[in-house]
Amino acid sequence: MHDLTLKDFAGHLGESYTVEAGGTAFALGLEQAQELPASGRAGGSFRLEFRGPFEPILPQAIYEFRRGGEAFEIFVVAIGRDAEGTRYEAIFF
Amino acid sequence: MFARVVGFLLLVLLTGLSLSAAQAQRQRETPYWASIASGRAMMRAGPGRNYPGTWLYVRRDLPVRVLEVYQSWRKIEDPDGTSGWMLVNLLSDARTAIVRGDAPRPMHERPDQASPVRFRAEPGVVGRLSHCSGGWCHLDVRGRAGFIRTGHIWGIGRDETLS
Repeated sequence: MHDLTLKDFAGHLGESYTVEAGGTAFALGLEQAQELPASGRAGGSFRLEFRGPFEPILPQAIYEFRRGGEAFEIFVVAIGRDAEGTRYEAIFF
Repeated sequence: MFARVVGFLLLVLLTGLSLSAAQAQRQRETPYWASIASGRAMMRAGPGRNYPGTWLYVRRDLPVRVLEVYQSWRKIEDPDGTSGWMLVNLLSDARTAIVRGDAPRPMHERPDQASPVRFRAEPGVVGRLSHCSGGWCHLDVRGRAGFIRTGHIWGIGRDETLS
């Protein structure tokens, strides 16, 4: 697995990722991909925001996000929930 | 000029070694043992500098168990069972162990209960591990070494051997 960069996601806003948790597959849509101030991280610093189903709320953990033939291991944290679903954030810093 | 060339070559060599070590770490399966390489190492609540620091470790060589790997971060567990995330650069592959229990533990001359006791190690003492087998480990505590029962230390698997 290479160090993920903003380029891996910036051109994929609005796309859906498949995430498996507890034997069930969930669809999480990528809603934001933003650059963050330099932190010294190899590949640059950035944040992603995904939106998933209202329930369940996936616990803070590393999940495999599949998009087409690609797979990315991403540590996400639930940051909010509204009528449209649950929002998750991944920060690379 | 010569010094510059030597310096450059040294930098290339060190960078290469560092990359090789990082590469090796990536390929390892969890869980595995490691130790804290820095005299000041921050454990964080998540795998990123944005996550709050939970503990600052000021004890180089403290053994830890690596539970998860994520990019340049490792989720570790310390001898007290506390877990959190630490940058891989702050960890070393050097195998160390910490003496456990409530009383000083005997450090034998040989891996044999009947062999003479060289000295006794206080609980909390950290040393470098080598030659572990048959329930015994060779532990080097800053130059003073001996064999200790694996049940008296944390930093080695129950049935693990080390050569």
